[in-house]
Amino acid sequence: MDEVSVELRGISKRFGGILAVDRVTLQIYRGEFFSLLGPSGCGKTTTLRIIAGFEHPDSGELLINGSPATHTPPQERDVNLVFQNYALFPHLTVEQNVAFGLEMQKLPRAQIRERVGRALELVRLSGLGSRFPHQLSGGQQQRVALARAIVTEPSVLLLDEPLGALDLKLRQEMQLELKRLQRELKITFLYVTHDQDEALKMSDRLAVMHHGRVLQIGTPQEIYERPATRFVAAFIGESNLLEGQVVHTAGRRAVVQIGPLTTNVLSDSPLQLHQRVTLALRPERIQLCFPNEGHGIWTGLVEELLYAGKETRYRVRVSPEITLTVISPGTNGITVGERVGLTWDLQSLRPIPEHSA
Amino acid sequence: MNARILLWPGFAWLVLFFAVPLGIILLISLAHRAPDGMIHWGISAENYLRLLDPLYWAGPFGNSLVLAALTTIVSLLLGYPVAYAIARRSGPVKNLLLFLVILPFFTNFLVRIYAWFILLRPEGWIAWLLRALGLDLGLLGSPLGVLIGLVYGYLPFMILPLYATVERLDFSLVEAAQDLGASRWQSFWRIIFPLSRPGVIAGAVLVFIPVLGEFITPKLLGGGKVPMFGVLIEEKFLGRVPDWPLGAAMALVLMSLVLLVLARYFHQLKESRWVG
Repeated sequence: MDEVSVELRGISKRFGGILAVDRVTLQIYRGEFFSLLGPSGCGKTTTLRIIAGFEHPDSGELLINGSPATHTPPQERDVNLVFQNYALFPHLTVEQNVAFGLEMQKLPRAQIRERVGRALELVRLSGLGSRFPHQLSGGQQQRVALARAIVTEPSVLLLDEPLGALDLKLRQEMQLELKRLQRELKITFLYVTHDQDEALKMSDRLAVMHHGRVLQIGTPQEIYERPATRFVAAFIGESNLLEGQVVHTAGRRAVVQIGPLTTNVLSDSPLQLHQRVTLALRPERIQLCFPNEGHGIWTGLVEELLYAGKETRYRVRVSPEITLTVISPGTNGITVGERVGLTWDLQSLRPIPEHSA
Repeated sequence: MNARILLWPGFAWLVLFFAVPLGIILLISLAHRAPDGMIHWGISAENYLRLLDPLYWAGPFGNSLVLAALTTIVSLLLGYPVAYAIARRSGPVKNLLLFLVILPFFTNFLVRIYAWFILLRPEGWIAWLLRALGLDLGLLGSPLGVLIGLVYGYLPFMILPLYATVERLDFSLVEAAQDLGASRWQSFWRIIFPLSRPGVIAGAVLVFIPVLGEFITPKLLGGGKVPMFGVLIEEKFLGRVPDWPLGAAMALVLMSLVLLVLARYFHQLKESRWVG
């Protein structure tokens, strides 16, 4: 797992006046499912295209399987790309599409036929080999694109929002399918998506990108539980972001003043007295209770309530300037206009250093 | 309102000026030649039988076929790279290049062929330049001169449909091909060229069919030494020894041939239904 499959060292790429990729440094390990996650225009697709060889970085270095690949043409890279629009050859049948890469390697016919058959079996498309792409559904076309990319057994598979065009149900099905494929093939998957849900569910590790820069790299749990920046906290899942100032410290513990309110904070590294700090608090980590029970950390007024079946969302005003979003499973008889107490585990309140983006 | 009413003006026009004259030509082709070369009405196949004489089909008709085929091939070879280059550009340069392709149409075809007549004659600077290079080709009055004129005249009809096809191609397919190990050359021949087939076929039809019936270019640039079928037909009607019934039969035979080519064209288009 420690062998590096793809390595980017300070890769930058400028389009016109815009820095699309800004000093990106990444190490992706062999056999890993790694995602590049970010909103559209964050540079994730450009990064992928640089690895595939369709864009040339202005600076930085790219290594594939340990050897320099910055100037290697796409034909010679041991990586295959699954295109966002699939880019299936419309004039070739499914079999001919899948066979294309093998034919370019000039393998004997019998071997090509056998490997195409196996690849189609792997993506569960056996029996559709003689169809043309336009005769297939979106999900089936997606599978052909996958089969075509894996049949040549590249060491890295690059996937550019491969499920973006599919409807929700099919997308969830294909997420499982992709994970299964990756387990069976044991090749490195580098997956680009703007869907944080997808990235969290599927990845071994992921990198969150914004404005061309990598903001944080980590496992889904690390990213979700310990967002490194305000952007990550807000982009991955939902967060209440509270800005305050450290008014008391004692080792890893601190007291932070937010407007008229104060709260205890537990941080990984000691906070400085008077330091400005942003606190991230997940809506689903806040519990509501009756205010007269006395152990509410804060109290507030329920201003809004949205019932959505499996969960209820509340908007609670805790001070004239501050409202918090709270998500609770089911309903607990609370109504709009009611006063409530709010509690949370100390570990759920994550301090984010103010200097970060 | 019944939208079929909208068909009537065009339909009436076609009946009046296409179907009726065509019927008349058919009748003329079945008539006998009057002593003055005009029509002596009657019904016989004699004009068609006369066309079996190798004098007609081996010479002029063969020339027409060969020159139409050569014009199509040369136009494709010259036109494809041009169409491709224009289609791959963007913005104002692309529009300017397209404009340049259709610019010749702003001048009368006859005038342009006359211009070639002047360029190609022995005193013209092209012949002079070739002589300076040691090549005395005698372009005017040779099949090569006619071919040059034909390619010049019909090249835009090849470029435009090719351009329209290539311009709509999804070039991420080329990236996909290269990603799978294809060289530029391979991705062109395996992906781009097959996908531009509808444009190639349309361009070939637009060049081949009119060239088959061409008479202005061979008459002016061939100087009577490169007989083509179209020239022969024209002579049967307007020449010194007219023979309208035979000319009508020739015109109809040519038209049937064109229809055959077109039928083949539509068949090909049906085969490439994966497009679009």
